Amino acid sequence: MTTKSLRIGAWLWLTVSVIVLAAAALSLRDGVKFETNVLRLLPAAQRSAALEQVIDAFSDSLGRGVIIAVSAPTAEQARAAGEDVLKRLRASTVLEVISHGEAELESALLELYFPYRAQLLSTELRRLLTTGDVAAVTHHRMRMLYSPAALPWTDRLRDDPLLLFPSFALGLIDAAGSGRSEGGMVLVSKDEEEHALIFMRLRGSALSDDVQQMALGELAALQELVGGSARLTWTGVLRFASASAAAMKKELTLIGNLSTVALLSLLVLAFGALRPVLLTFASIAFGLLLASAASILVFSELHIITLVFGTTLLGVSIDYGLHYLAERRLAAEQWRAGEALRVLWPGLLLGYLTTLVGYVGIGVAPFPGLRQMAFFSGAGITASFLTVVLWFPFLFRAPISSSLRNRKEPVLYRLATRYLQFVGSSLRSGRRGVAALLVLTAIAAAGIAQLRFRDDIRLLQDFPPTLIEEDRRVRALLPQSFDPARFIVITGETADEVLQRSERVIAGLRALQEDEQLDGFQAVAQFVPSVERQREDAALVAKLAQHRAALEQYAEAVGLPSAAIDNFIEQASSASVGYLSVEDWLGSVVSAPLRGLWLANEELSATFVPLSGVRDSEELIGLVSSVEGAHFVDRVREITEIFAAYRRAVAVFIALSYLVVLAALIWRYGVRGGLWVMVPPVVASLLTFGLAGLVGAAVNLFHLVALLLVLGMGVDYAIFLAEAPRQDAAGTSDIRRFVAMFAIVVSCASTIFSFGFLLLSSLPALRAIGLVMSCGVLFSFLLAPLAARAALARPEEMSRMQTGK
Amino acid sequence: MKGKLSALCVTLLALSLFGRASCIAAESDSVFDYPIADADQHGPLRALAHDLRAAGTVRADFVQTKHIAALTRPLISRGELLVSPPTGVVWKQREPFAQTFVVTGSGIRELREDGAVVDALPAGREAVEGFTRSFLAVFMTDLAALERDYQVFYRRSDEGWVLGLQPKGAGARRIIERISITGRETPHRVVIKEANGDHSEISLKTTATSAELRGEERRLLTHGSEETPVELRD
Repeated sequence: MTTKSLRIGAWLWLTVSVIVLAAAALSLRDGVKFETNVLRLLPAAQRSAALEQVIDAFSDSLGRGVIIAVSAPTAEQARAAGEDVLKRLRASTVLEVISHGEAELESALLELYFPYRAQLLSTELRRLLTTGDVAAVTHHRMRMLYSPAALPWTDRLRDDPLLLFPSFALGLIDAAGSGRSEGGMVLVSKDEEEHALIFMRLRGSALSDDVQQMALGELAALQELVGGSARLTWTGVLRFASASAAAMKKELTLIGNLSTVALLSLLVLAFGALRPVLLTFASIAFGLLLASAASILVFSELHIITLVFGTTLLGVSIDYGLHYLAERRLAAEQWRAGEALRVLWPGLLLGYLTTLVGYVGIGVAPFPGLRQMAFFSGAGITASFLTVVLWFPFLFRAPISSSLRNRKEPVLYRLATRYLQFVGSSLRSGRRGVAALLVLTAIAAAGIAQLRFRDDIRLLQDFPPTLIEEDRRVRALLPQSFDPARFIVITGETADEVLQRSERVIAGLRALQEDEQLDGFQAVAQFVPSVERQREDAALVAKLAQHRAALEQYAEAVGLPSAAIDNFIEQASSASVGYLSVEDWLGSVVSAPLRGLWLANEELSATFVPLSGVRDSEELIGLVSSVEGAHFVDRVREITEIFAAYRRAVAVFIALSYLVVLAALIWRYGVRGGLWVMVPPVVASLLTFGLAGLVGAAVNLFHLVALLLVLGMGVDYAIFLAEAPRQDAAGTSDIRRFVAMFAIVVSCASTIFSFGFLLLSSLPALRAIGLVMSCGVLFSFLLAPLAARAALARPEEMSRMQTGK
Repeated sequence: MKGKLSALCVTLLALSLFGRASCIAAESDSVFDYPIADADQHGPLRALAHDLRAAGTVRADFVQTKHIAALTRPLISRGELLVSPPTGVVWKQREPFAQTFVVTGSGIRELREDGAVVDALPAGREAVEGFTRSFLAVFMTDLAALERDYQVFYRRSDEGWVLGLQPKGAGARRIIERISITGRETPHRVVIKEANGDHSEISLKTTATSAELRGEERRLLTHGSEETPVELRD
């Protein structure tokens, strides 16, 4: 590489860097926003984009719910504390109370439904009217009147002599599934305590940082407000989203800081001089900066997990500068910056490319999270590599100063030398090495035979047990607690089409309930029957009205004036009063807690049907398949399937990557040499998984993903060791190998700690990567001298290599 | 609107608590001058609850007179009431037609004419559970549980005793104004005043104490709750 072409390259790289940074800065004018929703890392399920949008909209809307429980030893205390909380909440700008007082609710119920009473039938009454047995109908009504229960709405008897409205309304109460409500709270007795539940809705997405901050602030203030014997607990998507966002931010800071400190310490140990430490660190930091900039340009929004994973770049991209500076140290007065690069270039390039293959391998799968991590890391090492290759020759023109050179060897150098000598002396013959490898492989095989796999959502969401426990306790107080991961979505072109489809789904759900395959569900169509259903009900009531004699007999039996029957007949047989619509319902406070279940825009209407106590997803899949526009979603299952499918795909890809890398190595070192250089990462990977199997750990997608990196980095060590003797024919190969080993020790240490710090993450996925990488890299490192030695074992090959082909 | 459910429960509660009869009349209204917040009322009430519990399974004939303002005359029904602690209560109406309600820890069920037992109000809903819990609490002499939902009044005189209940919750108060139960050894009259002006009067005449359950009654009381009998806490 001539100095001139180097100069051009250096300028080009500067230009590219400046453009990328400027463009990224421009796109970040409005400040940096990080995605914190881990589900965004997952690939979309096999659904149409339109449906996925509807589901997202429902998730956002329903995810805004927040439930507060104010608990106290007595009902009075709970009620009083709950009222204080409610009062404060009414003034909130971010939390909207969605429960209403009973008086308001009751009059709203009458106002909304009473005018339509002759076309809104309870399930039971519809069944009775369909039989056409008028006597059965009137007898059923008499049973209600004579029952020991206090009957609601008796003051309306003369307008509704057959109690159509009370029957329908009681069905609604059932469907709403609410408990004892009082002044906007629901009172519940449980576990020898009294609880006042308050239902709220966020006025913004639970995933939004601003909303989270404001809402958490208000909830903390409420917690302080509730004192004495009462205490306040709460739950909602907000809680989990903010906890995971906060945990990730904390992790990012912690892991980032630890990695930086560790890296700087390592560089100081390695170089013992300020300038190389700072410049190497700067090259790494510059790589990180460019990686962030490029990722922002490509993905528009960075996931915070990408950044946590990105901290490992600190340990990975140290390599290039390290080898360069180690060479400078070795060359002493003979140091010629451009010349050195020519010698180092093949090793650096091969090391860079194999690492890049690892990242590309991760990014090939259409898994958004992995792709972003792979792109980020790939961009980062590319930037660091180019910085070292193109700029370091200009930054380190002068040879290392003699005072530094004559200083005692750095600790790491001495350690590296000693290990290499140990391997050299104890494995003098290749047989011993092969024997050692066979033993290790046998151990690995024994462990791998016992490997278990795990593919569930908890890989991405592992919440603190206290949070899960509080959520569980608050939800246990609810009359009905719906499954957050399994639900039905029904779409249609018009609201009425959705209602009709819902009615067919509801019929199926009721059958499942009767078979005890399902505990409960909630559907808008229970509150607003379709026009078709209202028309049918109106016809049934009109038919009933034709039996004047039977009705008058009923009136006589219960003591109703005959005018009431005249009213009824007139109302039932007169023209329709129009139909109750979803809009009417949405406009009434009756719908307040359930509005999130309905969605409508110009193109489509959609409804969300939450389910509780689903036993078997297959039953529901069968149910929705017979109704057009109905979709059953089982998130947990989908995610498990996604993880499993990708785990299998990645396994295949790992095999392919190994073959690609092997081909590159064979090109450089011949068949025997290439195979030997592959030994460290292969045996290290097997050993890592073998140990996992032996300790009974379950393997997931992310463990396998990390294997790609073990390959990419583990192979480097043997490469650098194998390269060392080729770079110099003057018999200094031992020293070269020591220097290379020293660079490898530093590089390996930095990789191990930077991935090791991922073990501090709360995310099992990152911990998996961290574990496999730190073990795999350590094993690769320990095996590298053996492999490099064996790769170059044959004298004729050595000499062929040393003479440079 | 959940008040309606509570109302149903309140009514049944009143019945189940004191579904035993004697034949002494007493003036019930004045009982509301005697809240048991006065400490001296607690002891006698506890003694009463103890006596009632000692009576075991009780059978009584009832006459219910329901006054509904919109109707031109009261609805009168007759039948038999069975109170079987700790399992539950059977309300067996015979006139003017037969119908049977069963109240247990697993909710309120109705015996259909075809012999099928259907859930009128299954447990699992707070209103129903709150009710069953509090009525069972009474049989365990758990005054604290009763006082949780009602302000309790109690007065004893030479002629017998009167117990008054006023719902504490605003929701329940919108339906039930108050309930009074009059009795001597056992209750003989229950009056429920609803907030809308309707009121019911239930007269009771005890026919047996420490009674045996008949086969059908046992079926009604255990149906659907075989594996989960109501556990009572001390």
